[in-house]
Amino acid sequence: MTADAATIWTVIAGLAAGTFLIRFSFLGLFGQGSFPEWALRMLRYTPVAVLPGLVAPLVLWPQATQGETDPARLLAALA
Amino acid sequence: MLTSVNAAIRRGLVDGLPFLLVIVPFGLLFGVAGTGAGLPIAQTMAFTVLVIAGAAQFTALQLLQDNAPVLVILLTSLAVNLRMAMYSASLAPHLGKAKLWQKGLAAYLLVDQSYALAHPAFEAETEAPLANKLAYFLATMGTIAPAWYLATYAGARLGAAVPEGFALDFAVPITFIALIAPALKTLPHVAAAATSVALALALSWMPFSLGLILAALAAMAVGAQTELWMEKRR
Repeated sequence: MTADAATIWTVIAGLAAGTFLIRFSFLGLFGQGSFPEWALRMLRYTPVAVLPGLVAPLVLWPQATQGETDPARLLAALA
Repeated sequence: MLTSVNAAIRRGLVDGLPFLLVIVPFGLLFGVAGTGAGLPIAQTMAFTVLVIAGAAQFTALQLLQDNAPVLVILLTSLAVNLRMAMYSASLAPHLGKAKLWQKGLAAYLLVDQSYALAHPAFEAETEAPLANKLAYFLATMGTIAPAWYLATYAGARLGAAVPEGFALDFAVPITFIALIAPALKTLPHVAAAATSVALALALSWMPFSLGLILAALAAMAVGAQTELWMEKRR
């Protein structure tokens, strides 16, 4: 980890506050409003839109010497 | 049954128990990964207690190691949590009339597991009193939240005992794969995931991990469009 402590604390604080606001949004801030259809459709896919893109470079281009075995493990894990 | 506050609490506590099988290993892994990445225990625990959202925590941890700028780390990790706005909206008709501090507490404890339990329970008993619904919701997290904190702590301590270079870096990709695999349940989910992988790799030349954000936006659109397309064909 090369990030300094202040940077990490900033990330923790920002992620904690932002996540709370997302969770509190309709319960506490916007009342009982609801999402338009298209927004609901997009939101359904947020985890599968972010996480695979994050993990793909880690598996294909690992920092260590494990390069070749990892795609096999990916396939095994998905099967 | 949400017939009384006591009954709701008992049922919530019992319903939450099976999720411990997922939460405990996940918490352990985050603890180990945090220590492996060089975080002091205080920072690992601050993530777990203040953010209380494993996938987003792993995302932030990975991007911190990639030296992405703070703004990109926050945008990407918060994007993982955007689904919770949907949870918040769908619980609002049931819990929206609670006191502000109660809604604050419920929002803090609004995670995949509590939502997965509470939403069908509330829909089945729409007329149940607010106090019973709130009691059920909070009780579902009665064991899950403490288990999450303790497992992370144990993992962080354990991580310190693992010798240097023990392939801990591989724990993070494996965790992500374990998170993604069960989510690939429909064609739109698969299409979104494939778009995310392809674009993230194709755009990896972009500075500051910006390629990942673009890939995620495109993947969300592809998922939504595939869903629309399948509905029209039906």
